[in-house]
Amino acid sequence: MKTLENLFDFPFNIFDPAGVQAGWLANLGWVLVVLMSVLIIGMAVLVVWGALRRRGRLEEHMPIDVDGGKGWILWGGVALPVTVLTSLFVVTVVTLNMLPGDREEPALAVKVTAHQWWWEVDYLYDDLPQRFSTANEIHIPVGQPVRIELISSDVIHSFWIPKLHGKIDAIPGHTNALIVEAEEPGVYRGECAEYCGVQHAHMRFVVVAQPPEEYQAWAARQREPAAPVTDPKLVKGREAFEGYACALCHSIRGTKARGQVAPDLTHFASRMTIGGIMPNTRARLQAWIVNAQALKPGVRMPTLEEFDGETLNALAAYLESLE
Amino acid sequence: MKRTKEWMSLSALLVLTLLAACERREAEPAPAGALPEVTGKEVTGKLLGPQPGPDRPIPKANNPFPMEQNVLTEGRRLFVWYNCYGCHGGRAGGGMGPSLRDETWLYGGKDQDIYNSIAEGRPHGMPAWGPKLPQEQIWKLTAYIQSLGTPLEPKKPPENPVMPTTGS
Amino acid sequence: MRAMYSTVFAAMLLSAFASAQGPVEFVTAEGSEMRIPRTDAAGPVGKWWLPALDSANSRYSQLDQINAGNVTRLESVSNWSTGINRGHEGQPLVVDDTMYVVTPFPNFLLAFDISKPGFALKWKYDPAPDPTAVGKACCDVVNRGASYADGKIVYNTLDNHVVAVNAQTGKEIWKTKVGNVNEGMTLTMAPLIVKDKVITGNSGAELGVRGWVKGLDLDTGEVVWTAYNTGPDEETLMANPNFKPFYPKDQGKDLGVKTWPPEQWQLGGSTVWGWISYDPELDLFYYGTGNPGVWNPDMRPGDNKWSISIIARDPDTGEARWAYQLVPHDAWDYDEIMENILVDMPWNGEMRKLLIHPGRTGFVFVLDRETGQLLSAEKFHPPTNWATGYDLDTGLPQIDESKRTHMGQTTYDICPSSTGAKEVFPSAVSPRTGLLYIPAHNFCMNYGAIEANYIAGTPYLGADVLMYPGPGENRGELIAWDPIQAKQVWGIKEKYPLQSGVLATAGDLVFYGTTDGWFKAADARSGEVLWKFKVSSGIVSNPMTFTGSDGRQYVAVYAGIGGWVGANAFDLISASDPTAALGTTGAAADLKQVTTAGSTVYVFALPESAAQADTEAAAGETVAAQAQ
Repeated sequence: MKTLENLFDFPFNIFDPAGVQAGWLANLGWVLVVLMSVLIIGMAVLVVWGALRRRGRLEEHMPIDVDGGKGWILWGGVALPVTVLTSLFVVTVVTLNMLPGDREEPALAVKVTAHQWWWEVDYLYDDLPQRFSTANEIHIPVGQPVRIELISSDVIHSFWIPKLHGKIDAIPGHTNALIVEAEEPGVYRGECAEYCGVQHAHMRFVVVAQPPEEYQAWAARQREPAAPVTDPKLVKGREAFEGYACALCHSIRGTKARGQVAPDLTHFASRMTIGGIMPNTRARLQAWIVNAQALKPGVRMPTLEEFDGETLNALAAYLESLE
Repeated sequence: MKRTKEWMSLSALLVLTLLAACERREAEPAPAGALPEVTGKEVTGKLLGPQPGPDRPIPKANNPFPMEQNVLTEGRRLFVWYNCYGCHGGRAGGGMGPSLRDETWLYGGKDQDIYNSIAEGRPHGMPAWGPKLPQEQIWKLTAYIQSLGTPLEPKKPPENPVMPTTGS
Repeated sequence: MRAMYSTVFAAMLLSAFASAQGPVEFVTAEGSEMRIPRTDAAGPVGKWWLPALDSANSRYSQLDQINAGNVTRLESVSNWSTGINRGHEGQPLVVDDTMYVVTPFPNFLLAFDISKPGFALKWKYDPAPDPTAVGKACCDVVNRGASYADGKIVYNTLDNHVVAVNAQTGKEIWKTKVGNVNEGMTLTMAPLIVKDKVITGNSGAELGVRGWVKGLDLDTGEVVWTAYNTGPDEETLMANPNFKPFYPKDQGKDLGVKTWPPEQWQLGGSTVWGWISYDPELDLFYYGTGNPGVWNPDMRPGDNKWSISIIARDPDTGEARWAYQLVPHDAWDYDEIMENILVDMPWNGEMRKLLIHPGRTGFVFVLDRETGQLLSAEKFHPPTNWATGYDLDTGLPQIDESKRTHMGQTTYDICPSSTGAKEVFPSAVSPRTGLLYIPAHNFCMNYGAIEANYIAGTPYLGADVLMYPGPGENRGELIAWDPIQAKQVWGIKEKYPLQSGVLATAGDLVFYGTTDGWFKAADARSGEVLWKFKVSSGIVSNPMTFTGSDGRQYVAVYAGIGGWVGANAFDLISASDPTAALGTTGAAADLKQVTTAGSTVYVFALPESAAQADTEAAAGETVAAQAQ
């Protein structure tokens, strides 16, 4: 049996906000829903009332009172819509005006670059060596405003975390900015909300809102380069990564792999998903390496046939070691 | 117990995926094989290369991909992605490496020749991409190179400010 | 005809530095107060031992047999083909009776006997470089020349070896590998011998190489120190207490790390492919660094130190003394590897040790070479629009942000282009006029920054660049510049981009060559072209002059088009793609119509009778002077 609360507990519910900005939007949404509902019900009642009031055939009511009901038109057709629409306009403008967030310096700035079909996330610390990069996963501290700078590297995408903020477009060559502030810890789903090519539907990401100290610990870990490996199997995996196609696109900081056109995998094992679409497990990882095209057709990750079983195993083991 | 089950089902998934991949591969036309009876990567580098003499009767494979817009734009993307443009020019007009849009082919201009040049590398700095890139991507690059200077070329070059309307 | 030696006065003895390099003399002349510090390392008057004649990089020769009065009679006395039809940059050396020529890859060293008619070939040394290097050199397989000291000719090979060859026999003395060609590194610059060290630097910023200078032992070839231009202070040799940059913006710990995103400094370019200068009094050597790694600026937020900087170091240890970054966070690929010309001149009434740096950025920078203070930075290239000027208090450029390039956008009409208001081809100074002679060229560009990918050994660009001729009919101009007044005195406009070095002589002449193959001599005071000669190919080399065993003055230059801009003359670049050759094709493709590849060493002199008459007249004058 689902409780009422559970009924609303799905990841794209804008009426169940978890952040300040989404809260404003939810309020606006509720105002619209309630007001429109009242109006629609009122209209329906009037229509029914009108239908009931004058029954019979047309001849019975001839001649029609042409001058009657002007009050209805003036009040119901002009005054009421003007009032309602004006107040809605004001409420909307006020809400949209609040959306860019408080003007205080946000605790954290993050640059999100939309690619076909994944999200690159760069943490913009002022102290440059503190910066790091993740993919399809944005960690933020709870209760602190975070500025997100949004840009696209190819076509127009739209960045949407329904429980934290409304949609904002990611546009090539133009930076959009938004501020999100999560009020409760949790993992929030995000989607691309602008059709951008074959894998648009799978262009997903998550936002992980954590207590600030947990976030700091996570960030400190992400900042580190990949730990050197000594286990022969892991060494074999690392060499495979550096020597085969992987390093042409991906980078693992601390190794020779410095590709920059695909997700940074320095701390791949700490990520929740593979390709933004499936849980990060060993078996799925191996399947993804060998045939990503079967799992996310059209993805830039090519089908890689060059690995023998042992190498594949070592490669996956190495990637799973990148905590 | 539960864990074992999970592993079994996941391994099964993996095996199925791999099988699917194998089947898919067999269904494709033999791409890299210059000699009809041999297919697969091992051919490039061992049997092929620049061939002396006129019209050696070695059958040359054609590109399994058609010269279609989506293939060519994908080839163009890879041309930029793998830094080919850095040596061969923004629209493959040359620079550190030779122009790919002129009439001259140093190592042959058939699909298979271009494929081999990419896969095996060439002296004076052209790296061998065969051990790294999937064949499918090399063929797409080949298609893009074949499209240069033709009406099909994606992302055509702008007019040259100092030498307009010349050919190659 | 006044004898040249009468114009050279003041030979100051500075015993502290005299040991290896000999005493410091100042080359001066009537006409200006400019003086050029010079030691025995430059060789006797009439010889040419170092790439720029002297370690001050003056390219000023005291020879005056050929002068404005007789230059019209100059004739070709020898020309030799090196057989390598690629860009012939650099200049020959002349030691005793031998002329040394380093060819482009495969970097042969040719020795010609200048005492024989026609300059007979004595020997040829082949370092047998790895051909892979050909595909890793961004801008043709050029070599910018050799240095001579202690019986050794020392030069770099494209495949990252420094070689020392016995100047007499042509036998290899040592050969040291200093880099890995598979990572995209090459060597193209001319090393400078300073005391007992060979100072050399690397190329390859277009391939994500990390720039350095190294000091090698002249006797053994062993690498004594390595100073990187990016990374932690321990590796940039900036951890020492004597490292004192002048401006606060350049002060701080580990700036080579902190001004880059994590680990980007490892791919940070800032290579040293231009010229090295050395001041024997201060015992410091100077060089400029190249562009920061990856052309797309948005991929490397921060100042990106020490790219596009001038750095002063101690030649014995490599330790830095000061550094000044000319352009923080470059967005245009403005390598400032240009020559740093070390002269003393009066500045606001006080004689100061200056470092004059005619910049790729379109500015002539004048610095105090003791402290690194910027004294003046003025545009010598009027179309320059990326910055309006320099703030001398902070040392920062006043950048026009609308010309700053960004990822995903094309920024239009930036002047100068990445090839600069001048390229690596070096200027000359003359103490007789007090002027600086800059071989300038005039391109602008549209620059689109795009996503870049690092794959070791392949170009690391992230830019889609289209260059085109700048305003005006001329793509080249030889500019005579007054470094004190910071203004142009005269200019010779050239239709094609100027890509050759300049030679100034005591005969009041400046020599230079054009990319369409004219070798010219102009009056150093008026800029009037007095003589020109059509050579076999476009000139991208640096003219030099020497006295032959017969007492005649010779002028030598290479004709062999190539280099970044010059390579557009080659068949391997198609005019139909103006973005080819890293964007230069749009501005230089028509070189194909006026020149073809070549490989000739040209040597010119006055006809023997004229030279004889001139020498006798000069001698007569000296005798007359002595008699008085």
